[in-house]
Amino acid sequence: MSDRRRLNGPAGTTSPPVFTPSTGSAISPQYRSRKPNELRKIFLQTGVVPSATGSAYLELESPPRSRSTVLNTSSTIKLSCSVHGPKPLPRTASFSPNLQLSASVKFAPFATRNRQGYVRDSTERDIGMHLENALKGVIIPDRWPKSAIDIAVTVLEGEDDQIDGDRIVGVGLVNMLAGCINVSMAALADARVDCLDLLAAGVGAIVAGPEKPLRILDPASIEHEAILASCLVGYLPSRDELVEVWTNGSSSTQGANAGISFDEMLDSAVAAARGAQTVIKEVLVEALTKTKGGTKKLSHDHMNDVEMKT
Amino acid sequence: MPSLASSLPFSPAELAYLHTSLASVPPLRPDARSLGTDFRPLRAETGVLPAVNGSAHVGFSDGREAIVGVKLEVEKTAGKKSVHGPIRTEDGVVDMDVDVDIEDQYQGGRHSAKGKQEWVTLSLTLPGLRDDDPNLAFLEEMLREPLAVASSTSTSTSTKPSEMGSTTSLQDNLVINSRWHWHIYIDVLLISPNGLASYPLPLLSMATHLALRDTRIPRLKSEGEEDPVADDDWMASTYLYPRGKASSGVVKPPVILLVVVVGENAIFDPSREELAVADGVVAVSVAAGVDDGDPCKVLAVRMIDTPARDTMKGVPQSGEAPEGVDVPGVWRPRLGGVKRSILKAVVKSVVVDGVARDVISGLDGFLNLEAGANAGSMAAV
Repeated sequence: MSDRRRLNGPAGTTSPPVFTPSTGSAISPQYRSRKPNELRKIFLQTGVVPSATGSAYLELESPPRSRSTVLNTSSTIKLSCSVHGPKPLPRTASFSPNLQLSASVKFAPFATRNRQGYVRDSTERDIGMHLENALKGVIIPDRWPKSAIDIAVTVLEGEDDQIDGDRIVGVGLVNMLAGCINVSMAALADARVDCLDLLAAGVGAIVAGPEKPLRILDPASIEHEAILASCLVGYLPSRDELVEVWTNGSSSTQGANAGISFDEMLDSAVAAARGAQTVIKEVLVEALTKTKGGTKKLSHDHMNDVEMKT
Repeated sequence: MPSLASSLPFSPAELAYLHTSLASVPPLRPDARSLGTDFRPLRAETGVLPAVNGSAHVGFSDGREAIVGVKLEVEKTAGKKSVHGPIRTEDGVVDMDVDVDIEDQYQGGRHSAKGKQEWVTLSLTLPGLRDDDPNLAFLEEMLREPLAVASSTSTSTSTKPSEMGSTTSLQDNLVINSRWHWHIYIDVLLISPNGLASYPLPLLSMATHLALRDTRIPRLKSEGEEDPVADDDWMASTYLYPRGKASSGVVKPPVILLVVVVGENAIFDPSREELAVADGVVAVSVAAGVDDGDPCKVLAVRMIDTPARDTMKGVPQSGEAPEGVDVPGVWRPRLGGVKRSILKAVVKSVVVDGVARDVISGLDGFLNLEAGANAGSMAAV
């Protein structure tokens, strides 16, 4: 099934060049310079897309490093999110007493080392379902009967995981979903959609340590050789509730000797989410003070009226 | 997420009744199952399809059926090919011992060969659902994900990191030699009278489990690094998941259990009514412990959107209640998520309290029974 409406890239998959490393400059694996409980720095800005009701841009920074070979996988994540609505449901749709939320995630063609097509593939749909599930837990649907809200996240740069695989899997994808949830929450708040709480997502992981497995927050895939298990949570801090859980990798529950228990992994992910929430909160407060007490959109036409009278 | 559009939705009064009875301790289940951990009876048979490597047919008592066929195909291993052999020499690359480097890096310095996740393809067909439905992708991914997770084969008593590394997952068993591997196609067909309304995850997972344990790999006549040539003799083939005594370190495919949280209760194998009022829906993938005494391992946990969020709220007789005030017995759509402590309790009840072990031993018992019946019929012939 070919897509004839757009200008597409080459029909067959092209394999990216993999240069053999010369003996002189062997790939030095990048090791984690952060503490086990330290998150990567998050850059977040709201109100970047003027035509959308609400929008946000999120970037996970990685320390600058020389780019010596193509093999280097990046650990930078750049996401942009726009919110459209709440808007009335189309006339053809059946009645719904609740706000119909739909969320989608799309990779830009250049987001990963292997080019992404324009048609959404199964990974994108899967991530979109996760995002939708998380956001449905934070909105209050009966505030907007007969309306819909669309949330679109575009991945401008994704975290590549593998050396030569053609799909991104594992912890890179989990990190990306966490970023998607955080950026969508910021965009929802920017759209002035009232929510139960400020949702935040965080990732915790168990990695193979020198002697025994280690518990870390916010793992970057290139910094660790083997990630035994990873856990993502979408967390509502003031209610101590989880709206989204996605763990992957074997973990025992008892944590008797070698293994770190599932509960501990969950707690570390929650700690990461709390960390991310402070960033989101700060950015939103900052954006609010910039727009003079939040009069940016809510009372836009109202303000105009006042000005015309005087 | 399980859309209620395909079958009649419940009224607010029905939802309130169901929720109250399920949230009571112990839960009162609409189909009169006495415990939250009780499962409904199911029928199963393996080896139903003639042209596949392994198959299973599982039917639940509410009319849902799943047929799974597993096929294996020999495929060239992509990554290694480009590094190996004449291609590189034609390019004029002199450095021929490079492949050793890359292979080492690729295997993470481990002794056993590692497979790739792309070698496992799982596709799900549900009549009446579009191919590009996100629910379908979500379900497929949920079924595929635990298969790819390495379940440790080392005993839980070993603390050495070297032994921690010796893990195998499905794709690791598919390696033939450095240039060839098996590609496994798991095709699932679901026949369900009410679509996704009764979320079919446990059914699909059990059918996939049985089909994988029924899967046989043809014996290879070729050895070592030769191009693979398969033996025609089906009786000489070996099981992909070897069968044997449970104590001898047998790896089994994972099983996914669907758990519904209502109030403080965790309810397993939910029916459509129970799903409709769930505070939260959690899918827990578990692998059996390698030895008898080993506890089960959690491979993956996912939360699924509960249909209770998108329901009509009930209005009390005294008129509309102010926001935030709950009138008992009047339905209110579920807001928010699941408390952290409850989620931990759910995972604990699956793994520590032995629900997973019961399910897996039930499936074991079925396979033993079937093997015994086969042996009996052979003897009769």
